[in-house]
Amino acid sequence: MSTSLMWTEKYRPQTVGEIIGNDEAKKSFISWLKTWKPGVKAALLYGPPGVGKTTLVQAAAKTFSYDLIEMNASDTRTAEKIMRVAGHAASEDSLLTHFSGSRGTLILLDEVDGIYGREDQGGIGAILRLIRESKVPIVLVANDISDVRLRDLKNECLLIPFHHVRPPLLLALLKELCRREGLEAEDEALKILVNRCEGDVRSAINDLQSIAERTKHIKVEDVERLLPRDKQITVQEALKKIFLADPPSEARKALAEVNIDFELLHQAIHDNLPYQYKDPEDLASAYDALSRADLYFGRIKRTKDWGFLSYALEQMTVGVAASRKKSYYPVGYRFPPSKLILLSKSKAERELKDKICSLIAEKCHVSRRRATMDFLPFLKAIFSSNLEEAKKIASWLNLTDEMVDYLSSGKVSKAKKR
Amino acid sequence: MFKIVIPDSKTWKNLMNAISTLIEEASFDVTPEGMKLRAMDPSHVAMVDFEYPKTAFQEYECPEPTKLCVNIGDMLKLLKRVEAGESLELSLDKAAGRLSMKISGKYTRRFSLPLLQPSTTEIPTPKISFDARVKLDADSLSDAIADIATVSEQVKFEANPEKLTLSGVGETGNVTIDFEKDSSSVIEFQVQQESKALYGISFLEDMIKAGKASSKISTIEFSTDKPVKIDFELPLQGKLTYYLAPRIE
Repeated sequence: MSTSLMWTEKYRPQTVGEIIGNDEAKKSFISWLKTWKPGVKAALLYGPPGVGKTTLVQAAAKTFSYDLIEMNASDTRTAEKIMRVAGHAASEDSLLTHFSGSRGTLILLDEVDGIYGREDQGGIGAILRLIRESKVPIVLVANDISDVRLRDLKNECLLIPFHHVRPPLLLALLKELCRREGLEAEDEALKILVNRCEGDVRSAINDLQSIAERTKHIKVEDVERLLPRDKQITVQEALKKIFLADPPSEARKALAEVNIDFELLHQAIHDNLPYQYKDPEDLASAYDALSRADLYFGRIKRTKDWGFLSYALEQMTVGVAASRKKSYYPVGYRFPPSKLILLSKSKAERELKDKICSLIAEKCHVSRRRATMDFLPFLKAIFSSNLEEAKKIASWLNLTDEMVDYLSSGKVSKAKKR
Repeated sequence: MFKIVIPDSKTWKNLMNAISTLIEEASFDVTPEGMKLRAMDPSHVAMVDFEYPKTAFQEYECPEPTKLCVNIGDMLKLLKRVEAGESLELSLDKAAGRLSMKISGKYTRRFSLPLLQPSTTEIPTPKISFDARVKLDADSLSDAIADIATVSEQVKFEANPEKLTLSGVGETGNVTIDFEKDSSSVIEFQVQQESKALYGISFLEDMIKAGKASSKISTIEFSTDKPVKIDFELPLQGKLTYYLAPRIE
């Protein structure tokens, strides 16, 4: 009886109880769903692929008879598209509530970490608005939520982490599948399979199915014959690979395994170098290589000639690794780069400053740049010492309270405006 | 295999346009009795129920039931090129997996469109009863909704034994429209129980605008806080019906 159906579909858990592992996450998700009412945060399920995040949402929707509206955020990349479907679902009833007695709508936005990028103007903003205004529960699913761009989103969500599924659980599941499919398998073979998959249930099942298509008696050799899986490594692991590559030419491989913007990686290497290469001479020549990479990136930007990219990448990986004359132990690497964190922290302040300077520029007939350089420091001095005068200036310039606060204290008031 | 001829392709274009307000991919059931489609929009807020019996076609041959799934936007793009009075022939090229459209007017044109994988989800037949039923002139209904759309994003439907009231409240103003039981645009009026419900205007506007191109007569049915059903009367037992779920308050 060979069916073409994927086992991951055939044996997809139908109830929450059938999902293996991640008991904590299951518990907090179900209690969130049961107590959700408008005004409560959305839920953000995150963790490695293949551990049952989406499946949990689907099974829970079935168990509690919700009408699940699933959208893959990386398929629909624009705010407009997300709002068109999810916007309706979040404010209007599901017809199924009236036709077949479902409890209501549950919105699932999958792969939200794939949503940002150039094409997606305002995608995150759209999701934030959706969460704040929704009259139905919304679940977001992501693999990696470390990106700074997801910071605002995380504030609006109940974070529910998922972890790799532990080997004994996975092994038991594979044994059960073998029994149901009428396969015989050596214990050792299944154990290797489990280890290979590093807690990813989906790929374990897929691997088992691909072996089962060839043989009904699974032996160790069958598992070993499987092609090595494409690995995805974290930025930290990639940094370690680059800094400590031996021989240096190995450093290049990190690029293929890490999923990150190259310039961001350049920034990360730049940030972490002094913690890794303690010897000043090593450090100097590594920074030399990095600066050459930067030159190439600049040329790419100016000329749009991406042919320079391979030189830039070679310098920032192999070039850095080859600068190492002494040997080092790996250290704790910092990511995201401090520059990005700083920029994101100071975003509110920079915006406010820009607005103030625009007002000055208009009134005083100077450029904004001049307003920033020549006017702002004096205004700050006046606002912090001479309140009388400050008041007059504020009303002449039409400054808002927030701006006055900033000029007198140098800080952006915490009150968040919506 | 099947072959269908529609005498005036404009009729067909209007019907396809009415379906395309809710969905991108249309999966038709073509049976020996006629063509059918029932589909919900991706948010499950609105639904269209379409039936066109074989007698409404000029020629209709369909020996065995077939599923016909096409991208309706693409089909409309082709239909836009068609002029009034030209006849349209639909047939299936099973080997190539394409739908052929032959348009005959002053000369003959042939288009073909790839077929898509039909979806397998069956949508239940809505079994709900309504307390209010008003049959009225589709143009008046469309105008009323357009009036309300100028101020509000939602429409309140209220019915009592004397009249049907549609109203909208917005930041820039309020609009109220009364259809009295004996006003000239009302054709039939049955209200068993006072009913009121609130609906989002964006679907409503699209549905009514598209529906009135195919029919001059529309029937509204609803009950308190339940979906509204809007039916557009088609000749020869054809059916174009929309359902729209109420807003969550």
